[in-house]
Amino acid sequence: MTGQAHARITVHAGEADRADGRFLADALLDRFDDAALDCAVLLRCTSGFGVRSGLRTDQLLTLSIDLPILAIGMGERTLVDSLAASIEDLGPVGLVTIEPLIWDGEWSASPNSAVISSAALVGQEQRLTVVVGSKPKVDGISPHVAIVDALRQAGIAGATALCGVDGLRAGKRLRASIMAPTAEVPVVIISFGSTEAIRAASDQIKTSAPGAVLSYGPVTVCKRDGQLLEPPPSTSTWQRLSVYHGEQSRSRGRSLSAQLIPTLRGAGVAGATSLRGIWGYHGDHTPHGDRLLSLRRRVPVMTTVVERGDGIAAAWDVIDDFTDESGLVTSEPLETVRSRAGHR
Amino acid sequence: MGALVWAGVAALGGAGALARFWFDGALSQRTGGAFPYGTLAVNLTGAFALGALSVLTDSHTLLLLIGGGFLGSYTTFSTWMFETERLGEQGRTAALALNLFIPLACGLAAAALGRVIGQAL
Repeated sequence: MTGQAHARITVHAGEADRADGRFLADALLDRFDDAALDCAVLLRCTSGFGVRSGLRTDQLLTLSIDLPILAIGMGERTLVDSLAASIEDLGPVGLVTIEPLIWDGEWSASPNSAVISSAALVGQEQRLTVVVGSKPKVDGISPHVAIVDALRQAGIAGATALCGVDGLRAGKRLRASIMAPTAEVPVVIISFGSTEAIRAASDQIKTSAPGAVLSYGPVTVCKRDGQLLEPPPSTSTWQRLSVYHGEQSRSRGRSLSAQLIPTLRGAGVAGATSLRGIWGYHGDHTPHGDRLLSLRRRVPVMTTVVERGDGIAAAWDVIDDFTDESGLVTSEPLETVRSRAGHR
Repeated sequence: MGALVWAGVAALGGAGALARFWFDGALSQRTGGAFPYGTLAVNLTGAFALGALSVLTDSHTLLLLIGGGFLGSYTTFSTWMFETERLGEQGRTAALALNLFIPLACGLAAAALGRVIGQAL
């Protein structure tokens, strides 16, 4: 229902963590399902570190044993709040963040007229988050490829599609499994742009991608293609500072996908994660993903820091340094952050 | 070879892998993960140890237990190749070349050094 206030909850954990006698990831998604959230995605990170956990990366065998995971849920505010309280008893859960969300619902093949009034989207720039299932293909094109194309046609500067391994949509559990490798899984497409461009893109997506779930949030775009637009707000409130780059992105010869996470850790930032997307584009490049016989991977990468105050300043110094040639840097406010390290 | 020796190989093989995970993991945490120093370290120390062992003992039981069992699991070829391939995926051609050449060159030197030290003892 789009009338009620909605929120997004993000839970950080390790993929090997266990609770309730099974994997914590499974327990979390079950709790999201029981809480009647509208939508959820479980994302597997490629590298990261936290207050309680050391460096983990899929570049090295010994550090890839327990990669970070993000369980993201979206639903009515009251349900999200009670869910957050209910997972306090799940021992190994790490950082939990909550942020308000402007919900545009799930669109069927014959959408109603615009449900969101223009007043609901405040600010000059918006983040648009679209969640779709990986199936069915329409005319041989996957839903996320069609949505990324729609965003590009609407003039949006960049979009990243991330593939989940588990999730919820319209009450249905979408889960990858070894025994059913072609099962439907959720795909999250994240993009940023001016409020008008995002609205136009959303209208296009609603007509071309039935079943897509859309939501919006406030964002400050800090840097784009090496140009500083606006530094992140240096307040004592929590922020999510994200860098959207590519597997091959470089800064003065340094590989962002290899060195951004270790450098953030060395700078004393409390935590960060990196996720590899499956499809996306930035700037003038055509949308791309991996090709079958290519050793070099050409996928988008999203690196995210959750911090505040001095931590954001330290993270920004590193990120600003690494994005002198390319990359999109955004800052989004977080309302509630609960960390096992004790600070709130 | 008795069943006891083969049981010993199995046990020392397990111990070797655990030693590798501990040493490789600790070194990788410290060096930050951008280059596979951990795998390089276990392979060089393992080559040195095997070089020394081959000189220090005539007993083929000891060579089997410690050389084949422990050092065989302590060192790793598959991880070396896997981590090199990952450097290729990231397009880091110089790092890939270094990760092929340095373990080969330094590995030969380490094994030779092991033999020399072993002979001196």
